[in-house]
Amino acid sequence: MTNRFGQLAFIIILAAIPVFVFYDIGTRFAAEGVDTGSAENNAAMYPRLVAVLMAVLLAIQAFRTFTHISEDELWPGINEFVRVHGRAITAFFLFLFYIWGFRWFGFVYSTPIFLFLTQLVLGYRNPVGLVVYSGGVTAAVYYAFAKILNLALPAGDFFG
Amino acid sequence: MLDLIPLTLGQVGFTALGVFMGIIIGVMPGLGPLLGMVLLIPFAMYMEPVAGLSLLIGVFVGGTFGGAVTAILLRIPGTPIAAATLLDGYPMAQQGRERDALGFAVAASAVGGFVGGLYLVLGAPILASFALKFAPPEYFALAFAGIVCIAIVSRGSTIKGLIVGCLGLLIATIGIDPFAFFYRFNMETQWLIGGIGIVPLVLGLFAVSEMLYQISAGNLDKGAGARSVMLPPSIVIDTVKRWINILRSGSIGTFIGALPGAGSVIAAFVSYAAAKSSSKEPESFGQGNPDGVIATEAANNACCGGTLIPSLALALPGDPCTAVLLAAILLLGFIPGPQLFTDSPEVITGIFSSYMAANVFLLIFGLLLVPIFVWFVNIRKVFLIPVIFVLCVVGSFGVTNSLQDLWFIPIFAILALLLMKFDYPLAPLTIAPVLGPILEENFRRSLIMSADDVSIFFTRPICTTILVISAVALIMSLLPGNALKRFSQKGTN
Amino acid sequence: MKLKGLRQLLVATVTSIAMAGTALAEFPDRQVQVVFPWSPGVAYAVSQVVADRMGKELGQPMPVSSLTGASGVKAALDVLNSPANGYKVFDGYVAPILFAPLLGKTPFQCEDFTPLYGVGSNGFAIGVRKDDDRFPDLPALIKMAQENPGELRYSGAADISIPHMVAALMLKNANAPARSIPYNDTGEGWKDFLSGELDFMVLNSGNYKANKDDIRVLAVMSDRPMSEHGIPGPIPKDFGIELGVEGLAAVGWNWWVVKPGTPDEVVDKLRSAMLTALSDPETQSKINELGFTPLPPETYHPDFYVENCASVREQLQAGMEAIQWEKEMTR
Repeated sequence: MTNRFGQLAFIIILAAIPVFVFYDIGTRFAAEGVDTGSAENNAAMYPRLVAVLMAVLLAIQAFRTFTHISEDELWPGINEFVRVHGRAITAFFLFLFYIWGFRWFGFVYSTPIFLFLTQLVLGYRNPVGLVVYSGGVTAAVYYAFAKILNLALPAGDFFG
Repeated sequence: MLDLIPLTLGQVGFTALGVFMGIIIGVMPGLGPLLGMVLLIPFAMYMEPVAGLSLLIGVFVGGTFGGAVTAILLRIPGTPIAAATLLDGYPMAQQGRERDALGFAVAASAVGGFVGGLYLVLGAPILASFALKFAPPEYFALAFAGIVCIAIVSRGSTIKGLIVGCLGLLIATIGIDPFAFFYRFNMETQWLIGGIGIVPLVLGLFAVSEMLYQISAGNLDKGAGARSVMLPPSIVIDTVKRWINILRSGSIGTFIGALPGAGSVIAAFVSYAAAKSSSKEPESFGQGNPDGVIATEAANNACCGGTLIPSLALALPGDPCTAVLLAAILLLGFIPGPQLFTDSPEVITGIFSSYMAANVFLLIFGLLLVPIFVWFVNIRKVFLIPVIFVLCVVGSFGVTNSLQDLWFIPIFAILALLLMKFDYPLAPLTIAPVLGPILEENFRRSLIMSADDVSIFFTRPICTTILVISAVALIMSLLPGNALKRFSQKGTN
Repeated sequence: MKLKGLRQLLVATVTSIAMAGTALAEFPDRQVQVVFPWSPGVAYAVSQVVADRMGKELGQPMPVSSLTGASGVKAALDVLNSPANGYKVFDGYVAPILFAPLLGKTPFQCEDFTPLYGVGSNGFAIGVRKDDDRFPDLPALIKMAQENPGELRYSGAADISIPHMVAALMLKNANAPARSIPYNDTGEGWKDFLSGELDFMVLNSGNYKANKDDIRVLAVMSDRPMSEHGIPGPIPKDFGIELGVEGLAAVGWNWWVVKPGTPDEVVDKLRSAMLTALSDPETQSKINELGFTPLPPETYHPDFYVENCASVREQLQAGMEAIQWEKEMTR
């Protein structure tokens, strides 16, 4: 994928946002009658203005893509991409699982598992270190937030 | 006129704690004052308000300096803020003068920060009392100018900056309409009717995306290998002897800091250029001239004081850090803005005093505790990165108390990586959500005042002037090869 | 040495896991948040007085956090979207819990909340700047509004709020339309009022106490003169102008409520702590000093909440019509 192609593709992704704004205004806003009128009850006035502005800017930027942006390679092939960013991608998925587990299994169970697995992904292999680290960090964070701050960390919807 | 009030022991203690933690966060790779402040908001919320703000101010000051330690000892800037420090700090370190370089950096940061603090204490109340005359149209104009200014000075093209600014403004409109009873853009879910909070947004944009970036950068299981040094206390005197440089750099730093969006990176580079051009031996700059280190460090810490001026007096944040600080002031039960100076002067004076105290602690810790900070510099990323992930989740939960809002973190992390990949700046996306409601409420309130007559924005001298200046600046920055843009880009490339 | 540290760490981890497992401790085992629907100001201070005293009773801090937007409805929704465990108390002002639902756009009604106790009431008055000699008295203001319909600007806080409503009612009865500018609190428009952008202001007793020297009260928005802690001044009736509402409908009041479905034992605990806090003479005098009138807990008792909602709602309907009238007249 070339840089120019990537830039254009990203502009199209960003353009979905003003399109969504116009769509929501045209449907839900209009149904409630808050898409017109004076400033007090016109919920659409300001977001519409910003969305128009954003759409215009995106159009200008799309045009500039042909004059200002080089044809350089943006990304190497998919294999190369995975080779370079594989760890980061895995860590990101672990992070998503952590947020999910944070709710369902609670802080106390999901955190050490997340720490343990993330460290493994990052290439740390010392078994004692892994256990001490994931347990120790969990205990320390638990102490700081649950004991000092009295914050009720989730206990896990799955258990109750 | 406001005076500095003596802080209570607790406030002094929390300022000190904040500076200490700020430096630690600042020295660690990829982390800066912003992340430190966000993570400490839940703790600040549980304190007496001024003590909580003291903690955050301490982190702001300490974190801004922290990057200099890594810059000099490792020859890589720990934060982009310290990039300019490298210009002379690196050659000095190569010549075996790490001690001196770090010593000058510590002392210049503290004294420069103090200079910025003086401007803050003198300037903010004057600006605030002037701003009491501002009505909704003027506030609209100011917020508009803020967005334009951020788009102009942030990295990449102005058009891209404005696109990201618009995106941020639209994100701010999610949730309930400020005046009418209507849920906007909530995609028919209950989840979004409260809008998107700044904390998960900042954590995703800056912390998680940065950690993912660091993972790809590699060297995860190697320590940085920085060696510790002890600093000679006499360095303070050597630094103060160069008071003209400090005063000039501090003034430049404050002024640039007070401009929305400009920030400490630009302040450091501009001040470096000024020091070089006014030096008797400009050719020695870049070869290890202490004045280079002093100029950049004095400026970037004075800049903190500068950004606080419009943030406190007008409630217009100039950078992501002050945006977070303003959010914290709101969470603690005060409305930031000129009225805060008359309604709750104890909060303002508390902030002033703790800012001053923070610079004193910066000097003390910077001189005495370098070995501790070096220990943190050398933490292996394989230990650091997983903790930051956990702290992001727990920290966000601590502020918003919402499990659903945690999903904003990965969403904004991905958005940040895409924006960076395609050379779009991130700063407007942090500040726009804070300025957005100010912009919209005052825009619509102005129109309600004038019975929907837009001429209200063009018939009032102050409002019109601000709008015209922002329009001119915008047009200038869009012209090809303009100096304004080149100058402001200098630091960030 | 090293092993010992490790063992301690493991013990700490295990105990913390065990403690988290038995999470169902007695209420409250952490701070209880009070969600306040306006910008911080005098009314906020009143809530803080009650929260501080009540927190002492519960043995946990009760921070008051302000969450503004859409005439207070945003804060109400925040509480309704949180778990029904008693850790969030809504500072239920009449505008979000009763007035806004009249528009039929909120997913809740006044009766949906589980009540604790009523806290306080505050009356409103119409004030002008002390040196503003265009308005020697209320009839002068009315006359100017009649002659220049929609030209005079004022702030009555949020669009759907009691201060705005009482002003709109009186102006409607006098057929004198003025333009209301919405703010998130009576205090927020204060700056624009003092700098001359707004011609008059609907102020509450707290605003009056805090800014006595800058303003002149033209009329107290009440059907009878206020008590000793209220705002001194004539009432519209003295000038032959009808207010159109009476009693509690003409004043702002707040009733602390929690999300429906909160366990009974938790509600009982909150109620008894709140009753103690409200009955404390010191709390009452602090509320009085701030310009608000404490509501007697025996009358504003949870048992009478539903009744209270119903009786005020009827009168508010007239207020809603007045606000609609004002919008039509000034557009």
